[in-house]
Amino acid sequence: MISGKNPCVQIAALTKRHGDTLAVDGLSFEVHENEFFSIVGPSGSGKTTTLRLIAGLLQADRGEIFVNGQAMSGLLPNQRPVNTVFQDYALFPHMTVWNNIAFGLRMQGVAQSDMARRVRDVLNIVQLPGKVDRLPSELSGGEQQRVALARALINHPAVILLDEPLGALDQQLRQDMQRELKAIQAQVGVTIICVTHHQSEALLLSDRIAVMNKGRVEQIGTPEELYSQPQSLFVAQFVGQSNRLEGEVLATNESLSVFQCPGVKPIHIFGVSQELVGVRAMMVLRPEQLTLSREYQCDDAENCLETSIDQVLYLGEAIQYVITIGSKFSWTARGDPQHDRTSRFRPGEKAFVKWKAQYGLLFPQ
Amino acid sequence: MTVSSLRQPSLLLLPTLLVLGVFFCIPLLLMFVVSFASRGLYGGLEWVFTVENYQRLADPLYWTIYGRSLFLAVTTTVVCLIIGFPLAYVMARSSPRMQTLLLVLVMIPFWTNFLVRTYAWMFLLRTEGLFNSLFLHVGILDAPLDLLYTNGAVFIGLVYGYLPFMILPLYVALERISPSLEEAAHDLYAGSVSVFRHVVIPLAKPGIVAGCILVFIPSIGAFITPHLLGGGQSMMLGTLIQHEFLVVRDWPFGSAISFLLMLLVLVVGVPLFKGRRLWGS
Repeated sequence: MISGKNPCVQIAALTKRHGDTLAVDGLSFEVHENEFFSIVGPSGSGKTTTLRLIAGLLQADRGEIFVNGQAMSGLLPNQRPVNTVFQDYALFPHMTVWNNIAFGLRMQGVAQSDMARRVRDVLNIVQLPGKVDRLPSELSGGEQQRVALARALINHPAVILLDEPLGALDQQLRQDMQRELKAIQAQVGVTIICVTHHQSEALLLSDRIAVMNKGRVEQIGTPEELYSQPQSLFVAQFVGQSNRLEGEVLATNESLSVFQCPGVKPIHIFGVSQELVGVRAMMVLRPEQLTLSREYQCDDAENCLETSIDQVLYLGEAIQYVITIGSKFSWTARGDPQHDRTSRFRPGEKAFVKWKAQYGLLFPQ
Repeated sequence: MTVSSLRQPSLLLLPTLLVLGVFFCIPLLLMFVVSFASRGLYGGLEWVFTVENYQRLADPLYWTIYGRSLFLAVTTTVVCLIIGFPLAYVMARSSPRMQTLLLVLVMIPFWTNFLVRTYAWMFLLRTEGLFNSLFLHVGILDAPLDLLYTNGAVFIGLVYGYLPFMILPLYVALERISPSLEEAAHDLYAGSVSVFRHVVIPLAKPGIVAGCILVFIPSIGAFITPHLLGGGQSMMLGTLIQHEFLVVRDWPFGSAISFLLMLLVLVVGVPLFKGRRLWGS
């Protein structure tokens, strides 16, 4: 409701137990109308269970799910205005593309003429005309993905649930489908809840993301909020690449704090609260916040540490340096591959790593 | 044998071809020849060509036996399918440990000789058998029922004997159906009955056909079951053939009945086999 949008899905104190473990533990969040909402988290975090609870494939032990204001508990999957695109697509192997896509309409008793028109429309949306008579086994992975999406879209559900939607596709196809998925959503206007362990995909596709851990939501926010203002170490580590340094806050005044890690010279951080003094904490920096240089240049608002280059990894659009800080912390930093080849750092070389003091994020342990 | 000669697929077929040729095709050919010969006065063979054996098949005397065989085989197949399908489905959707346990339970009867198990049914169905004693004791019956030597007894024996042959191929077919397909159908507004009708049954079709073939063929030609549980009252094709060969000693007529049996199996079996490939390919 932050942006004044209508809630489409509301989840309230949802709890589901699998044997002895709480797969979903008192979960609450809201998904707005026409929003692309992703749930990310490591395996076992409860994200797939949450999706199956919304679909009705599992029944919650406690709590409630509302879709467009209507309570879902007790309703079977076929009674919910929700359709799922399954991880393995789950296309019916004995039915043609046409019959797969029309299945939902047929089960709802939609008239034949109406059905034909809607199948044609949805095939155009997913850009798959002319393949209606094929069996799923005769389609490529990307085409199967489109059929699975079309099979859900055609029913005009209130919400479409995507379970690891692009997991089975190769990199190139994956990027194409990501773009297309966004375009289709903009075109037809549908609420999407997507579960993925691929955090970069979630950043790219989503309006908002929920990061789940051990059956609870760690943080909900826009991709930018999660990346630049993570509220826990877990979120900072899970979303994007992170460089970590463990130490203790020695002192702080209204603006500047001193963070000490054994074997590393004291580090300056801006904006640390008074309560953190004397507390063991983890500092997190993003790779793109670091600059490597051969000379020591440092002003008051910066930190500069001596380091050695361990590995140089060529990624095409960037160069990734793996560097060692102190005795045991391994960081990654980025370099520009357009940079004159002779000035690149080499493995084993000594260097200085520099970052602005406002960049350090601190999480007490 | 060198590696390259092993790659010749035709060579690998040789043992099977030899066994089938020597022990199946040649005897079958002999039977075919015998079916056109005449019966000697004392039960021997006289090599005089005749089609009389095949003409005798049309004798109304035997029509009840053909009809009974066909009826019992079809009923057995249908009942095995009805009983076997739910069990096979439960097996296919159980945990791996439970699946193994249930599979062993289905196969345990095979550890005992079929003849012994059929005798056990005789003991159960006899006039003084377990069922009658029990019913009399409880007071459901005043006088013992004639259970043994009836069509019912043969039917029970056939269903009991061939049920595993239905369950196993059904289980294999159902186990291969991904549960996510059922979930997808359910998610796409299909109720439980529709999920079964539109997804589970069509996908289990190869198993259904295989199971029906595996039950129908041995049922229609069954010998031990109708012989022991049906006696002279409930003869089937198998018992009739044995009767002609060993009791009447009319080998030519016995051979002719055998070919009629083969024909019946082909008439029912071939369309089933073709139907197996109705989807996919």
